Amino acid sequence: MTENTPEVTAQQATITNRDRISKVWLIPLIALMIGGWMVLDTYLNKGPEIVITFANAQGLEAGKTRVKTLNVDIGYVDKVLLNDNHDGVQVHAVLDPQVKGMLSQNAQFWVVRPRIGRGGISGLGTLTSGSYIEFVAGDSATEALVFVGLEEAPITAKGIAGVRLNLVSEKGDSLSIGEPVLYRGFEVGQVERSTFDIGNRQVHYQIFIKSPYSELLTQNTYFWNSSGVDFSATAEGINVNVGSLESIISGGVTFDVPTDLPLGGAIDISQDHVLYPNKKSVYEQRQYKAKQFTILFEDSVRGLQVGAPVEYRGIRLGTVKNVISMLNIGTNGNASERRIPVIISIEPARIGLDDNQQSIDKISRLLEQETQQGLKASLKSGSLLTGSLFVDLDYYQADLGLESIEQSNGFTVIPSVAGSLAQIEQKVFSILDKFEQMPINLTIESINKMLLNANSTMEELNLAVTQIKELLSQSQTQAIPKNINQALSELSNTLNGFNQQAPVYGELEQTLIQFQQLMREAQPFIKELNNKPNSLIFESKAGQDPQPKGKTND
Amino acid sequence: MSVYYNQGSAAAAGLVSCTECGLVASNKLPKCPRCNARLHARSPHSLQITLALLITALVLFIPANLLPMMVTEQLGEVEHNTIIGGIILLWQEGSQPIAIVVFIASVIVPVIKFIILFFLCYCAAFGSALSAKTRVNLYRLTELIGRWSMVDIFVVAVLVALIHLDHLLNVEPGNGTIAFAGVIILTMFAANAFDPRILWDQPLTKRINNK
Repeated sequence: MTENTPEVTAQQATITNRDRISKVWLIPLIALMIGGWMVLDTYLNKGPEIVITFANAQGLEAGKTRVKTLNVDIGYVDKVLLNDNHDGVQVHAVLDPQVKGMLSQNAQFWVVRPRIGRGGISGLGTLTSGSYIEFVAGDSATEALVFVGLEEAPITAKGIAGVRLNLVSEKGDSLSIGEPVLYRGFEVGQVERSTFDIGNRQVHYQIFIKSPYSELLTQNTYFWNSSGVDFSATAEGINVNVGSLESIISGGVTFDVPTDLPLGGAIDISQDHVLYPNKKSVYEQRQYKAKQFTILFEDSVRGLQVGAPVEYRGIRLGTVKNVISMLNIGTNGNASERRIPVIISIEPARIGLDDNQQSIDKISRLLEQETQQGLKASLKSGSLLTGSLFVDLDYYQADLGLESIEQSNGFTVIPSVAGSLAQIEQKVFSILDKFEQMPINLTIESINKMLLNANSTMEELNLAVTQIKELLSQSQTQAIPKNINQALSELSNTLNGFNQQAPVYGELEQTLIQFQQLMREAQPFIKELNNKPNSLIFESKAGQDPQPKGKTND
Repeated sequence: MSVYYNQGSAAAAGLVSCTECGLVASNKLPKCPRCNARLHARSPHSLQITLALLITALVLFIPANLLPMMVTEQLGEVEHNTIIGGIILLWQEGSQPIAIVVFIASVIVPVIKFIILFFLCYCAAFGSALSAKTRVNLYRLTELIGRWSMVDIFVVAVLVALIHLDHLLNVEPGNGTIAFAGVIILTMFAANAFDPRILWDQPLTKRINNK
């Protein structure tokens, strides 16, 4: 028994009352704490609830449609309600707390849907995934929770750096939003907005040029429309200009600095820039600082168009600004003024001078001075095909007494002469006039008279001829040739006496030979006499033989 | 001590049944002479553990129903389905039988389990009109149906494993799954922790009064 005791004691259970509360209660406590923390966390980190208004709720579904920025899910549409006026929808969206700082007043929201436009297909992914609301943070400092949604996706997102410029075009150049802005065929931006200004009847475009390319814009940058195909037939031939394929389909704006201009400083963004219809017109119509003059033409200005060149011997100096169609009769203090005023602008930058006021002053001084020297303007035909005219400046006979410079229409007048065509016309007319004025009747009368006189002369002549005939037929006259013959044979007999074989000729010849001989013999004596004239009197010493004189070496 | 135990029970007779091997031993012994497991006349803190786990499960039941069980991405369209949402969807899509099965497994069963276990805990504490036998049957019912709640978890697990077609069709488990699995597991533990022998004892209140 005793050896069994430890076993029994070991097997003796100790009956205890456990703690009244078990430690297991920690589990629900922890669960509650976690749950509470989750609730609190959710509440504290609850993202902002925003309201976006749209025209309609196409593709928007409460609870499903997501709100994304840069394709990152940042929230969802909670409710889609009609607005108070029942003409639009209010979309309530719950966003992630992380976007809190992005909700500035000018943040943009739009619905991304599949879209097929000229710029391409966009939002294709939403065909399967459903529409979503795209959100781009604004840069304004003031925050907002109510936004007006855009109906269309903005062309360029807010965050992208670049330059926005306003272009003005007189013509509706059919540029639409989203079309490319090209620099040498390379796409560097897009047309963002096009509005029509009813007041000015001009089209205003806003273009956006992306950041590194915006540095290409300088003061002398010109913009032109590169839409489609430019086909022009001029006197120089047929010219076809084709842009890139994209621009053929959709058009676009191209910009560049004309080759004849320096790059210039930074571009003035606040100013409106002109959008030229094509590249050619940039060179032809671009705006320079200019001084305007008036030319009063006697000729017809038919064919002279605004924009026509003003040239000096083929070098372009300026542009025709205005052809005043109304005659300025009575102006200039001259009631008989019938000349047609044409306003031209002289643009010094075209001939290599700086595009500034100094060169304008310089050139206008020069012109005023040269008009005194005979510089005059005339209308010349630029193209026989089109009949277009241009203004040509050249030197002509200076008008004497052109002391004071005339003023008309507020500008200095450059004197004019009749144009080349008009001059030819005038000459032809004057010739015709002379023909007209010729006394043809009188001439014919006198010719008639002359002819009558001639008749009588001829009669007299006839008479004379018959008299001569009579004279010739007389026997004395016929004997004359016989007498002449006789005389001639006598003359030939006389001459025969001087013949080579004649004795007289032989004697003469002999005499001459003898004379020659005598002369030869007399030659040494004459020499002697020449050398020593006194040798006739004194004996002559034999002199030294004359030595030939060579060229002395010293 | 015998006041706790109703007349006719093993505990009242000074006997303890081993919870592991079922051997009936004297309550004087600390360990089962056969399998050496600890002997308890009644599992310690059984009621408290059950209640604690039940309450935890109840807390988890809230996110289990609010958070999505399953995140389905179909052709890029992401859909978050909660338990109730999924059942409604199934019903609307014409799969009413499946909807009913899911509803029973995912909603009815856990709820019934909660009710029964709470009721049994209440009975143990305050006594009830129901006979001990009925209460034991109720307890057995909870053990029987408890595991079927896991159907939903299995479905999600199988779908997640099978369907991975990227944007075309993709299924991922939502956070609700974890919470729901937690609910089921906790209720199973709660049921397990509940010592049915309490059901034969005097209600707790009576014991305290008798002290």
